[in-house]
Amino acid sequence: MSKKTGSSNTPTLSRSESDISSWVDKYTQDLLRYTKARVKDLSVAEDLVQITFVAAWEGRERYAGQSSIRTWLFSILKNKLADHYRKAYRDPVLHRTEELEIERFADNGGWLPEHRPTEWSMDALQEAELLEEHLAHCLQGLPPHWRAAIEMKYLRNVDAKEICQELGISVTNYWQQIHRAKLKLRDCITNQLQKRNH
Amino acid sequence: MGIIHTLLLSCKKAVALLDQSTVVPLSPIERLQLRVHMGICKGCGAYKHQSELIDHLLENRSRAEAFDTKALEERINLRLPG
Repeated sequence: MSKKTGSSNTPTLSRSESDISSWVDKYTQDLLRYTKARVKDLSVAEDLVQITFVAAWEGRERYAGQSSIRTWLFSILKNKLADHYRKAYRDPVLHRTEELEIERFADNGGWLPEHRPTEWSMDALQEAELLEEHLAHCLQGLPPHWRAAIEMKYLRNVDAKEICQELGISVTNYWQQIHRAKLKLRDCITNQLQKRNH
Repeated sequence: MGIIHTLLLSCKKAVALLDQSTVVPLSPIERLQLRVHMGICKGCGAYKHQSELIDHLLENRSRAEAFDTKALEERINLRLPG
């Protein structure tokens, strides 16, 4: 941070000022769309976008122009989302909402007949939009901390060790949560597809 | 009998290993066990395809409805000087 005493209206500063409100015009829609696809409530998504712009404003001197503004704003947003998931993950109230897991396997570890996966009867590429819709719906049904664990996996380019440190869990615990979330997402999408066919 | 038991993996363990492998590398013996199991188990094969498809969808999520952001933009601008 440089101190510029006595020059309250330097050219650089006033340019940043006009820039940031044009950024709000230009990028709010994109940032909100990205965020809403990843958190449950619209109001939470709006708050995250807002604190992203505030952080961008406060850190404007660190934006050196080497990446695009959009990229820079998204990198701030991803950090804010990571904070959000970390909090959601560690929230003891949310942890207590954990549901009873359904049993998909027999005692010998084989699939129970009604849970044995069969291929989805669809052209996954052609119906990508439909699948995305089902996925969005099914993500809302995940217990909040499973969702936080799975969202962390796809948010940034950081390895599992770093995520586990952030969440305060072991790598084994982490992949098991990813696996449980995946089992549940797969069940849910399968049900959605079947509903459509009946 | 010993070798067979080392190579045989239950479906429960096999799908867990599949998802585990997207987070941490498996040991050589686990990779071998998984390969043997996947070679003969259709159910786990379907799980693998679907799990990979879900990964792909999660990585490329872009769709979300458009929002009316006017009120939000005003709120943000109030928080920013200028």
